[in-house]
Amino acid sequence: MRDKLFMKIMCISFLAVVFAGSNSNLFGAESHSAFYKGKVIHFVVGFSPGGGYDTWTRLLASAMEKQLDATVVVKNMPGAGGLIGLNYMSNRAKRDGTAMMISPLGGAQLSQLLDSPGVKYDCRKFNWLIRLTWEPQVVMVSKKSSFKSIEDLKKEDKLIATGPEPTSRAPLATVFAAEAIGLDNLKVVFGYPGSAEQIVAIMRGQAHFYSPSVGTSLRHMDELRPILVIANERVSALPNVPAVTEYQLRPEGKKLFDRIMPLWEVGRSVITTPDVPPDRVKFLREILVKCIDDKEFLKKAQRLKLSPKVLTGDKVENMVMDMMTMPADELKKIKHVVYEKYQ
Amino acid sequence: MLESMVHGLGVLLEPGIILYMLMGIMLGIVIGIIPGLTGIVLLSIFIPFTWNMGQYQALAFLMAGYAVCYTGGSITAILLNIPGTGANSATLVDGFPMSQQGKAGQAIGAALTASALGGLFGGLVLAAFIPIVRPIVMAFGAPESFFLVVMGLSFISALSHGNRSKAVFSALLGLLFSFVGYHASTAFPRYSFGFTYLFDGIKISTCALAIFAIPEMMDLMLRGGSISKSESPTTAPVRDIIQGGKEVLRHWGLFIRCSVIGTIVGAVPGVGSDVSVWVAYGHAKTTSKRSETFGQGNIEGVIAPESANNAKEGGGLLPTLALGIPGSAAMAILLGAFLIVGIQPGPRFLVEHLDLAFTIVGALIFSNLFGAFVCMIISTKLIKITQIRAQFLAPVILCVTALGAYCTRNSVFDVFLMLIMSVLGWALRELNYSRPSFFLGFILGGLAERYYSISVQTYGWTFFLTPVSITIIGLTVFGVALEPMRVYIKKKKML
Repeated sequence: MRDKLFMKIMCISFLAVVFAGSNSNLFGAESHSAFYKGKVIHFVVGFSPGGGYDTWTRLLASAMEKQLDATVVVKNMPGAGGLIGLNYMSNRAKRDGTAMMISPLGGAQLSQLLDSPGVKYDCRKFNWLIRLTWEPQVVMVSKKSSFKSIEDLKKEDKLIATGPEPTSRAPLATVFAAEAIGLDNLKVVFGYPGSAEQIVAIMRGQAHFYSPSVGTSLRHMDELRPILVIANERVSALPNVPAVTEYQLRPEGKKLFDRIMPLWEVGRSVITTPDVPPDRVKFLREILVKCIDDKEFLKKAQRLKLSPKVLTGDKVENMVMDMMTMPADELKKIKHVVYEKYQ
Repeated sequence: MLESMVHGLGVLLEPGIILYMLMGIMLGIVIGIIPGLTGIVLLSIFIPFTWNMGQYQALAFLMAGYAVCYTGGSITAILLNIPGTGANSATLVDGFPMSQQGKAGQAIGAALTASALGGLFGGLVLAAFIPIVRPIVMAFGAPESFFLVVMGLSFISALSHGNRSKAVFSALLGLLFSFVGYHASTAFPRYSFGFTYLFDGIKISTCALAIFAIPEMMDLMLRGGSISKSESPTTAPVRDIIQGGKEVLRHWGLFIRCSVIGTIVGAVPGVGSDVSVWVAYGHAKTTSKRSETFGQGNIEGVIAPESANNAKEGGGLLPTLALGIPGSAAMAILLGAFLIVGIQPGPRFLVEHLDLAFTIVGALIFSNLFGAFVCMIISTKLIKITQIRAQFLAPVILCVTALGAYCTRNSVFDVFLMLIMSVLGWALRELNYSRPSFFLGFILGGLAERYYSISVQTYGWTFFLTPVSITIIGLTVFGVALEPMRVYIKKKKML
């Protein structure tokens, strides 16, 4: 009799454990929902109000408030290309999953890799939650020029491209594409503050080309001609423009190009601070996917001309980890290409 | 064309649109008056409100606010020696001495009338020149922009008040401070002492508050009394304001020339307002018959920069609308706002949406005129600030300046930086070193370095050999040499 009772208790206990285990996600999600309910989440923007990062953040903030029943406060911390925001996230923000930020496009990883001054964070320690979007750069020449393809650029004695500074996206894409394709006649002139000055420089023949993002390039199709998409494959917005990989590439250059391309593919990704419990990170990743799938979010994004190209947090994290474990000899070559070869 | 014009302007008469414009104008004036808040901040605040507006409402709202925010900034420059932005920095050189002489009403009247008419001029030029803007924009590359900035810098002598060596030293010090932060071409931070906040350099508004506002308030606290040193208080500000307005009409030639300067410089991408106001001021001093009174409260020194300041908005919109190339940082944000409401500026814009272009022109002109009118009404009361006793005024202004510095980047660091730099401002003031020269060096130093670097990288050392560059060099040399030549001729005649 006692044995039967013991067996019954054991069976019930076993079933209870199995049930609890199978529903741990549910319980976990409930506890995390409870954690965020009524809380204040600080969403850091590493740039001034009004730009792309700010618009994405504010859009996401309203969707997150709905999903988490929390208050999301957008905090602009502009400066040093997002470095001030990243340093804040690493050293001063609460490490409980209530601080988030959209990481600057490739800038976070690159600044760390190149030992840029002022870096006080480690990309590998951030928790990468989701990629919101990404877009490659496009080589744009003046429509009045005789350049129709990369072959035409190769024929020029001294080819001049423009860019803001060596470590910003556009000239980086330019030099690594040049390294892969073999544009050894290229010199990049740095110091241009923005697209406007670069477009004028190209239209008046002061420079031959510059490499804006696909979105920017589409706005200047009346004056400029796209001749190369700096990516592994063509993009739907410019179906007739070849990608880098369609050309015969130099093996060494191709190796560096493949190493550096994930900088673009990580794109605008949401991060949270280091040391957030893994199950909360998982919860946040799920919530952010729901935010972006939300019909209202998509409607607003369409109106603001923002097109999400989502990649899940675990995949983004893998890309970042892979990029940050770069062998020393490759890093040396990358520094040579960025700082010396095309200047 | 006529149909588009009637439709585009007719839209502005709809009650809903008028309401949005009035809201924009009022908020624009408030933001303009608060030191540290610029047109860029205004647009950043306004844009989220336009997400759910129609095209015409959004355009009217944004243009109205943006058009008047620099008008509001001139009031604080004249009354309190606080330039709201770099664009108002030339106004205070003669505007504030006028306030101290009890002529604040006249100065404000002149500034607001010049702003309103300058805005009208810029708007009309925008309407007339949109189809033919390309040659103007294309004429200015990096070398030409560099020499335009050098032309602005050459007016240091115009700010010397008799002591050129001190003015030059101040300007060099200003240049040195402009080099703080990332180098334009290499992105390597300089003079940052390990502070990441200094990587982006010292912000113009932080510097303006430190160099002009705080030393002025410190002086006021130490000497007591009020800003206006005049024995007789301003009793009829309205009459003074009207008198100031009439001065603009009396100097109509200067107004037209400075509006042209503002429009052309405004149309050059990247150079912008900070250069245009100083070029206009320098031009006014060079061509004035009473050039020796500049810096001591000459009304021409107020009319010139304010005409250029508001005319430049029409100029800035020229490349933005006609080519899709923003003329300034604020125009870049405005361009983003246009895209959100479904407008794609560029060559096709004028073919497909000519009516919208006229709506923008109309909103710009109306806002400039109405904004100046509202500012005049406010000014009749605000002028009395110059008679408030130091112990009441100074603490309030110091709090407002701290708030202005904080708003620059939402950072307390800028408040501390402002306090530290105000020691320099105080020292310059007490030792009679020209603070406007320092500020001129500071705001133009970064631009000069950037365009010089691009020019040399692109063309080598012969970069100055372009027709437009040579013309600007010639004008600069002429401007610098004119006064010594005048003195020489005068001496020779006396002999």
